[in-house]
Amino acid sequence: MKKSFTDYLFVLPIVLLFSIFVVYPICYNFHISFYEWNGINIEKNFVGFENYETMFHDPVILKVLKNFVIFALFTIMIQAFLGLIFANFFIRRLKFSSFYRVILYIPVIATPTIVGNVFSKIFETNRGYLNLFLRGLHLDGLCQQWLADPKWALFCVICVNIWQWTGYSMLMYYANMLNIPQDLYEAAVIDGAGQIQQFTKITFPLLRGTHYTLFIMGMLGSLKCFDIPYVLTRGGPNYATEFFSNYIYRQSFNLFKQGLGSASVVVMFLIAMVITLIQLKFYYRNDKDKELAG
Amino acid sequence: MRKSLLFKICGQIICIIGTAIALFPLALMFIRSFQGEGIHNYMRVFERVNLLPNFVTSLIVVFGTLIIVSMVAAMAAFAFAKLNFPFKKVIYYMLLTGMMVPTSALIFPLFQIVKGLNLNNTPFSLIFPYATLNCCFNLMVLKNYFDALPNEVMESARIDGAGKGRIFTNIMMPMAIPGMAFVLIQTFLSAWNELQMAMIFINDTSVQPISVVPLRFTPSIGGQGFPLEVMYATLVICLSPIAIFSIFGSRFLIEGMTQGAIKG
Repeated sequence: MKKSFTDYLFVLPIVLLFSIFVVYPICYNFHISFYEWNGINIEKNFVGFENYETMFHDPVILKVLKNFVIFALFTIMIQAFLGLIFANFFIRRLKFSSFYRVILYIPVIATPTIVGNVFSKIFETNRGYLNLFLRGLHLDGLCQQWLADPKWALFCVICVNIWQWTGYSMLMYYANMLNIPQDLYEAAVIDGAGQIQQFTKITFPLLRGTHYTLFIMGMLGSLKCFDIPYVLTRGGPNYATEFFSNYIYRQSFNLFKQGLGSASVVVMFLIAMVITLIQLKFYYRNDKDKELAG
Repeated sequence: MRKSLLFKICGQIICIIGTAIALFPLALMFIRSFQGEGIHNYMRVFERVNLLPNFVTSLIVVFGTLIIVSMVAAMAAFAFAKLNFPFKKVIYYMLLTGMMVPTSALIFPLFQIVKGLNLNNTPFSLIFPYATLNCCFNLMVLKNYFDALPNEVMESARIDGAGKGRIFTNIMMPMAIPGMAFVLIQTFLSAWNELQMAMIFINDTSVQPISVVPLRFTPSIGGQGFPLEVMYATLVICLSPIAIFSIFGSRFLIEGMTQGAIKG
């Protein structure tokens, strides 16, 4: 008995931290979501499920959900596609590829607020570099009020996100391509498979685990997404780039509707749970062919 | 593998375009920061804003987080990989769910705690939440690493009479240094770049961490009449620690990833 007690000492610190800084806040939000409260006063009113009802009748939350889905799909697909292309070049030892690899990873580690500031100067309407560039090519018709136009703002946010995170997808694919045994390709060459066939028949299917990982991390990242839209647009214009994090932040700290804010935290948390459960299901289903992927 | 000429040419063109796009915003920032008065733009930054307290805050936050993560996550990962105790699996998977918890779900309750303890506007308000989130994220990486270390070493140390604490500090930790390097770099980057908690828990602009400082220049706030060149110079100064760090650290990061610290 004493033996396993000392074992628990090793995990005690992390369990303590986890309970105080993760479990407690989530329970707290769950509790508050049934009250009407401004977050400051001592008394709160119990209102049952009213906050959830108000939230689902709020037209903004529909925009938030729509933005989340669009943002997630576009960023995940494009980042994965570009990452796969670059990783494929690097794994075949294209000249200078280690140089390109380092450069492509720089955006990943750059501070998002700094990146956002520079991009807001690029997308600016009057003196922004993008519009100057388009005018320089005499394509004035293509000039837009990028960040001020609800039609284009989300597009800009997606572009910046792709700019920042393509390097990450690239490195994940590259790292996992290194694990594919070379003799598979040698055998394929003997059987007369071309470059394209090698890619579609060997590389792509064997990277299935990476596709899933990137998909799940992309979904969770899109759900949490806060800094780039906050710096570029603050969720505007007309909620065109509003995401869960910014919505909750506004309810809690600008509008002082903590009950509503907590209710949206609960909904956001449930979405994250569903995504994680899907991931676990795929993960265990693929366990069988793990040895094939190495 | 034979490479066709077409493949080489297309590859070079695509890679050059890709790196150009990746570098363009950062190069733009750097070049613009020298426009007008050259290096004097940087002097004017120091005349106008005192960034020293911001750097101090960032450094305290990051190093506090690193110390906690390196101890707590390593101990837990060692226990989950090499020791056997009841409910091990349950506790492990519960901790892993910490990876998917959105920051927004934690901010308001933690803000109440931080304010209640009078810790807001101090770096200590950020250290523990950051450490917790990073511990959950890095637990899996470290556990995979400890799993790969041979059990025989531990067995022979136990026969020689070493306790679990000794085995952990004197034998397992030195062997886990490459894995730890990867974890520490990840933690450094995420703690240094975090915005959402930092801007709420520390709302006194004079001591905010470096990741929050650039918010002062966003157009919606009005930029406080900063000349553009001075703004770019400030951004370069804010980015420089990360840039220096990446020169030394990114090699370990890429190595850690390619050696399978993260498995797809």
